[in-house]
Amino acid sequence: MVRTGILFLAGFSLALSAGWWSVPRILYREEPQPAQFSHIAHTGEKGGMSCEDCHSFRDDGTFAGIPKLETCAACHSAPMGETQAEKDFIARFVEPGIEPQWKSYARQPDNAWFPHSAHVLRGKVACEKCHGGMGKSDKLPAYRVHRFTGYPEDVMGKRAGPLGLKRAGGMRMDDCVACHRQNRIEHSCLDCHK
Amino acid sequence: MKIERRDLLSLAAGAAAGVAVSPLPWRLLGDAAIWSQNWHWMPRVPRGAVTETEGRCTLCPAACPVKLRMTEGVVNSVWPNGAALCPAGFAAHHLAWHPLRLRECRRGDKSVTPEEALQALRAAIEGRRGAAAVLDLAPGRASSLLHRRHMASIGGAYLTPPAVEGSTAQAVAALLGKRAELAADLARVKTVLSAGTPVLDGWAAPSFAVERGFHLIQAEPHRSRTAGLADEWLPLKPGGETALLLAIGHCWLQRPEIEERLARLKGAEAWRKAAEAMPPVRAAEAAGIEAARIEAAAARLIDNRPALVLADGDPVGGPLSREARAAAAALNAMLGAEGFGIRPALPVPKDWTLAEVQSVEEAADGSIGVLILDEPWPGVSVPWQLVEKKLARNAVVAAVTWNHAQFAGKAEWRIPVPVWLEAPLDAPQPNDAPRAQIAIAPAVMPAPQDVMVAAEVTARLAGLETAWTEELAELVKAAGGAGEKLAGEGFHWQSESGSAAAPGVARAAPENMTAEAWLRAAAPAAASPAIVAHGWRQAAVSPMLGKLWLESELREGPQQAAAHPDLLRRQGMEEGVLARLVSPRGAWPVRVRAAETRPDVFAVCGGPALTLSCEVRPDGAWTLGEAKVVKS
Repeated sequence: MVRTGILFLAGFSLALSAGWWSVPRILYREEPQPAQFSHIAHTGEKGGMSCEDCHSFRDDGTFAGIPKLETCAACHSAPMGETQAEKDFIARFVEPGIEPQWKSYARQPDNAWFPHSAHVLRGKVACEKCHGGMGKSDKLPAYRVHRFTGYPEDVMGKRAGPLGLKRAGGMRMDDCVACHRQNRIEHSCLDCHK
Repeated sequence: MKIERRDLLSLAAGAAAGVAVSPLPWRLLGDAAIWSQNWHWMPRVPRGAVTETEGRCTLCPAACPVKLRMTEGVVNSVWPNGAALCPAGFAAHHLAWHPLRLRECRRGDKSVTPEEALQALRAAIEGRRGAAAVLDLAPGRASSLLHRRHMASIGGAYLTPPAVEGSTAQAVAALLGKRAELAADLARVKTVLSAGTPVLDGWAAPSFAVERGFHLIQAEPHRSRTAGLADEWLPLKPGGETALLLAIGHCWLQRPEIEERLARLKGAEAWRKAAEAMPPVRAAEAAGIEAARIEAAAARLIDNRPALVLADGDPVGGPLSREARAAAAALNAMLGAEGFGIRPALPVPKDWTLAEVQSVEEAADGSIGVLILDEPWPGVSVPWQLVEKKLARNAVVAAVTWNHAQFAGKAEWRIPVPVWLEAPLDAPQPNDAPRAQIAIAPAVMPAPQDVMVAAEVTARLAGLETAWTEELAELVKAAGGAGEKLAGEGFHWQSESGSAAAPGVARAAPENMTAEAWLRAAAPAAASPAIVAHGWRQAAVSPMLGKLWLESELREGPQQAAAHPDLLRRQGMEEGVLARLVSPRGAWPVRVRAAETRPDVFAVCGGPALTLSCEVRPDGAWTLGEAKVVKS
């Protein structure tokens, strides 16, 4: 009986640990970004830029997302600093005119419609509310993409909560709905799912 | 140490328990559900710059002005443009991705090319010349004129389904001294009595539901959306419309203006006799409404004019009986048809010859050898029984349709049509205003290969070389438009609103209507509980919208049977249980819900498929026959 109990507990502990340890490793694979980038070098005291300077809104109010090469090249046609990352970026992308294929950490699924303008311009939601400390980071975090869904980890959520029933982090529908409820903003299915 | 089977089982049981309290299975389960969003057939909204264009929603006669927001040539949202928009309008662009959408030409189970279908139809028409017909399920469009032109050139017939929306206007027009098309003028009236007409729920433009300037008395068995928005709801017994309308007429007798009018109208004696025999106390039994409420409604109608009486019926449940429509027309005649105006005809190029408009009811039984069904958008339907008996033996039926349900299931040939925003499709004439309109939506999205609108099918069958869009452009030019940018920009034209002068009414009742027929129709109905079918045509536009309604319970969704809690108790049913609607023509699962209805009625909300299965009574009304709601 004791032996059975010990074996049961051993199996339980092993599976429990493996389950908790393996989830992020099984679910996500890491993909490299085309270049390294320091947000704080641009937004800090030295750079003095705001998020909207690069992640701009078009004239019609729609969000342009990750800046195109021309935005970078406007300042970095020649190195402005001393870092190797900047020199590499100019050599690989700016000089030959190759658009870097940045991977977006926060790209919403194709079946969801997220208007930045409604949230940022009209709702005055701070960028940090959804994107956390990205604007103050010195290095790009690892870009991890969900193996099944193809959605980034920042959208799907980094980890599971206690008992594995509740996910923590991420930018999924539950998070949108929770924020809307918290701020008493009416919402309907058609607002996001066009 | 010897490892036994028990040891392995203990370890495995522990491992299974451990995995169950780890995130692994739960996370996989949730993520697999999200993965299903990415299957390749799921529609995706393209990314990129948003452009906006203006147009018209042409999925109902209201033809609301809309703004279309697009990304990469795909419309991602529809917004009202200076007016109200109904929920279906907001989701109207979903139609292109409707799961029931027909995307290829088919003969039975086999895929065929459109050319094969056209050749077969052409051969059938040549073999049965004179017996070809097109049944236009959305009459009143500019495209309908094209059908009439094409049918005229091959000696075919142009058929329309029995009017549901607009049937009162038709009944009143039959009482005029001259031939004219009438339409209700909601902008002009101060009081409206509606017997089962969904005035504020798809019948009129949504702006009337938002802001209306008339007092609405809604008489119907269940508290519909319109009844909920109305000033008064009269919980009318099913089939009690004739009694109610005659009793209102009874209250008006002895009024000098009515007596004066009766003296001048032909057929007045039949109506007077029926109205005199139907005092409110007698009507109260058949209509299920207290006599005092009938008297109050009658007084309000006559004292707060201009007034309008509507008895159009429900788009899914069908028209009311001929007697009820004639009784409503008679009341309008007493009011001088002041709630109606004459609708001008659509401008037609001078050299066009058009086939006569004929109701499918009027076509001789067994007379149609080749039938082309034009079903341009969701929600339009008629009982198949009505069509079936008009077909000759071995008739060839082709459904030119957007979907592979409904009429496609009845037809040998199925030809897919482009849907809203894929071709310059147009809307019918409005129900709520006496004006003529040509409202053509812009074709801003690419259409699937092999689709063709029904007007193109009939044009090809007529051997016309001109593209149907060019013919449509000719109509636009006749209305004073340019016609060149029809596909890209759409077009909207409307005639001036009808003249303020009320149409000249010559009769109080149709020639063949007798007081006895009216009084027979006003007798109390025997069946209890009665089944009343109703629905909202536009609900079929987007499956997501239907799902939203079902889950939110914001309104009745399809396949819901609403009943008074007392009736549910009597039937031994509980709220929310699954039951079955059983009729001689089929059985459907329905979810039972308690609602504000008369305690002797099951109000079944359905869609076009329910209409298709209805039977047509000799009095012209549609019914589900000896239907019952029974426990599953």
